Amino acid sequence: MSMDKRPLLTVQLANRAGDLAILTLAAFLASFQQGQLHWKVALVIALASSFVLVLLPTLFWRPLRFVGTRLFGSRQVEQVLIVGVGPLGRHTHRALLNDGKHSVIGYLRFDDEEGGARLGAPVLGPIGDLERVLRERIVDEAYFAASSHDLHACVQGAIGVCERLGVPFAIPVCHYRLARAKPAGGSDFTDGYVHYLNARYSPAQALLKRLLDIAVSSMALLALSPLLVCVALAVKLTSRGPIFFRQERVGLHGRTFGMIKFRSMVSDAEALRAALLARNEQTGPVFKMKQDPRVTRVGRLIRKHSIDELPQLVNVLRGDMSLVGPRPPLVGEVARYEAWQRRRLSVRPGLTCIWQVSGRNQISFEQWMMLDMRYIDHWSLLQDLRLIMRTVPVVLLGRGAS
Amino acid sequence: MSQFRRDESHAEIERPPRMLIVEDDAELLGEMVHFTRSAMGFETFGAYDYGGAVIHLGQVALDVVSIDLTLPRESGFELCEYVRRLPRLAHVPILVTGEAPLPRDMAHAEEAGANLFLEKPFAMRDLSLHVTALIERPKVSRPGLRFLRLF
Repeated sequence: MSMDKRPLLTVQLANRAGDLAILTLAAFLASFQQGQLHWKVALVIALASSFVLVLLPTLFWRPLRFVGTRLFGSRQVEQVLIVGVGPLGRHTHRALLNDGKHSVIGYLRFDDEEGGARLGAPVLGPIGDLERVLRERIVDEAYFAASSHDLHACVQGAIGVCERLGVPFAIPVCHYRLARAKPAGGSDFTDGYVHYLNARYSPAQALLKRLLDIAVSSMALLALSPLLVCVALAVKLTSRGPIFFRQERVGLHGRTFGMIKFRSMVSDAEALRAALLARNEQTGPVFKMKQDPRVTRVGRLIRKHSIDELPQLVNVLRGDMSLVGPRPPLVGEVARYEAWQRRRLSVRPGLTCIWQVSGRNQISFEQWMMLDMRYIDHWSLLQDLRLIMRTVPVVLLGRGAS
Repeated sequence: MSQFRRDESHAEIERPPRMLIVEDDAELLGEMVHFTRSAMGFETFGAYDYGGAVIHLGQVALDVVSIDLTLPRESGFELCEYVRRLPRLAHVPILVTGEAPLPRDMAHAEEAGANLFLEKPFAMRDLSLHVTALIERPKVSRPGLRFLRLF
């Protein structure tokens, strides 16, 4: 959280003086052979090691971090909503802030609770507003800081909302006051909460999926780089406008990100869309059209083989997307989602999913959403690998769903 | 090095501050009593359990109370509630000490009437910072249990 508040460079270097001294001493010891001190060697070792181990990281920390956050985003901060403004809510907030990986976007009040001063985050409304808040804000986890069993019915209802919308939540392990007793298992639930996910994968599996994403996307980007360069040149040379088309899409738990494609349409395509709405061929809030007059000639070719989607490998590498997952929707589409459809956002969006390899093009919006739910509810790493394998021929033969 | 400052806002305290420390670990209790007496200039009383604490609470006009949550018979939570039930001590600042508190434990401590939580194990320096923070707080007390950030 407070990573930005680094002290002045001179102060940093002064703090590193101890490291420098130890390195110098080590260098002298290393060059002390057969009772003879090779002080020139010692000096060189001391200077070189200080430079590499102390000065370089200190000088280049900021630029390195800048590149790091640019490439990989700042996804490490989890956004939390706390339900309950009582003592438990407040102390949960404090514990979350202390670990530096969470930020609390706000509180919701249980119906019998009073306002809530000195909370350190805004009260966003009564618990009845849970669905509204979960739809409007990015919430990675909701903590139900209910300190008594009287709230049973209230929390039960709220859990239902979280399950329907696909938002992870945490409920207290125990409401009772324990002065001495410890859980018999030895390891306590680290924060006194049980955490629930609405997705099928465990944290370890999620990590595996992410590692697969990083490995495959970086290798694919490397292997396809000649093709990518050629396509970039073709796009740039055959029509006016930029190479890439960057579009605001909705990712994990409602985070927006810029999804990158090769530009396949004329540069004022978004403006022309309104005029074409009457000819939409897809049901629901999505716009799709077979013979779209806005597509350029190169665009038609790269779209046929889904080459225009390849730059999204960068989105995968950055962590905005995954290789397999529901296609990321537009902001406007999400606003019109029904509650259960929003559960698509409970996993990272992907390049390909069940529908994309199904070979079926004419499919209603409802059916499409059902296929995405099937993917989420029956997820396995094996299924991911299978979908990746099945995507490759579909793309090469140009049979992909448009 | 007297940690206790007598400034304008505490002009009403003429005598050294009186503190009661309730702690079942004899060694730690001895260390805490010695430190608050010699380094902070307090007049400190010690007790090992609920019963011993009750005797002191009935006899002495206290300025601050430190309570360990894990006591051999009745718990520290119950002692906090007992203190708050005494009209004379309803507003005395209470410091509670305990190991690895979960948010739930801190919420319960606050509901029982504690003002500040000090996580065990602590250094005597932490104790003095916490006690000083409690005694020097403004007369109009703000609600809620606090957890002093030392770093």
